[in-house]
Amino acid sequence: MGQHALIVGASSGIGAALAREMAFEGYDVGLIARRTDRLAEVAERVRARGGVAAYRAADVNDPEQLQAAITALEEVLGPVEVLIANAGIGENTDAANLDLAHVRRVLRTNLEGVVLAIGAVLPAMTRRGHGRIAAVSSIAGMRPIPQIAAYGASKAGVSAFLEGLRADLRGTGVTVTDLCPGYVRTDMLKVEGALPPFTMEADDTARRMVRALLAGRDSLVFPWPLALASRLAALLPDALLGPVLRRLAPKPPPALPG
Amino acid sequence: MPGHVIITGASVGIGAALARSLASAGYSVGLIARRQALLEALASDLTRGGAKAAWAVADVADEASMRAAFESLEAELGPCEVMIANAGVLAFQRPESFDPQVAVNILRVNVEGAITAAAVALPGMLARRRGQLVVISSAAALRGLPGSYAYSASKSAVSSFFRSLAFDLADKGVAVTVVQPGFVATDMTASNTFPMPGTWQASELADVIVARVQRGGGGVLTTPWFMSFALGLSRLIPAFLFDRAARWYFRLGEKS
Repeated sequence: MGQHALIVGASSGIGAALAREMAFEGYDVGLIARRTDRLAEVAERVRARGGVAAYRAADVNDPEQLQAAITALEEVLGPVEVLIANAGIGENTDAANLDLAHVRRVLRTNLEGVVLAIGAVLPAMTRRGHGRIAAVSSIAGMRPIPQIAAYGASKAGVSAFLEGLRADLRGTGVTVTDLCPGYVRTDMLKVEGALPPFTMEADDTARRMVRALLAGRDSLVFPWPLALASRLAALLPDALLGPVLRRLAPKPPPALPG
Repeated sequence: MPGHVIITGASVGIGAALARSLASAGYSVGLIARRQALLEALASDLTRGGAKAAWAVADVADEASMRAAFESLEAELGPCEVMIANAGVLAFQRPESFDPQVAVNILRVNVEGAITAAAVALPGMLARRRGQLVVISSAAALRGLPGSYAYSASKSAVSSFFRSLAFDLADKGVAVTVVQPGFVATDMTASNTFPMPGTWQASELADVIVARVQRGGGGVLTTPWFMSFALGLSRLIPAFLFDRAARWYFRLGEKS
């Protein structure tokens, strides 16, 4: 029997592709998301290729539900050896009509959800002295840009959380990998017409993510042209970049990276 | 004629220092915090000094209480021209005993609380096409740090949110200032066991922030200046070395 790789946010997009990829690497995959029917489909596809999969429905916003689902999956698949916290939603922020319900939805799913998922496995993993923790952040967290205040904040928060946690876990046998993709073709990418620059396919994205996290790398920021552009943009002051970014930002707002 | 400034987390530390500094600069100050006794004492202190001050009890993590507090302060002191989202909490955690609820509370207060303060003040400011948002983030936003990773996450998120908002509001008459202080001597940092180089007094920081508000606000203000420089340079150190050094540093003086 393989080791337990738990994927939170596994029902579609990058998460579903991560499930297939981890199963291909020989892991038994535990799948968590809100939609049972979609989870069943993902699990069925893993099993059809000879893999082992189990799933439980839970909302990452609900700590008790999430903990119960993880406990139930650990009973079937054993202790979580690899956690990939992937659940996330993409919504643009309308600054002129700041909607707190929208802000809470984005922050609680993308940032609190990651914190809760990690919190559910962290103490046990630390005690065992081995394990891999990864979360799907985004290139959008590397530099504040217009129109996606809440989404960008949630991803900046995830990357900072992982960075600090990694510093505490360095050398303990538990690795922490920050996965920061650019644009990926999933349901989250709501575009009509031309795709954003360097859009990647979910399968290819998942493959690269799995390789990075199984190697215990600190982070994976990709594709490289967007990574380079974001790193350079992060060095420039807002006052300098503001006029450029505002001119580049299309109306309606851009599709969300990551 | 300086107008009405509302401060969250006004009862102690940087918030109280801001209230005193703003009052002596002639602003009317609206004080929001959870602890009524501290607010009352501060408000009467300011009023005795000749300033206009009012207070309202609210929890920034509770939208309804924030809306009620904001409305009562505007009724008393007039339209809010500057909202200073200052309320914040800090906790140190270890991976082996990590309690996610502690982390979630930090995020709710430091991130959602600051955004709630902005959201209740923004409609009036946008209607008047005039106003300032000031958020007290932290230099911890610049890098995730061991022990305080939930705090770093919260400050990184809140800096990112308000810097993004600044772009969107630039042509709408609302200036957004993101303050990222290094170590400041307050109750929050009093129990830190590690050395805190370049520690500022809360009153020093408050004066610098008020000067920025008087000039119309806007921009990212990191204090002392070498904090952003030092944390930027820290990225040139290989992470495996920096992480171990940082972990050692932040555990200095701790009883094991």
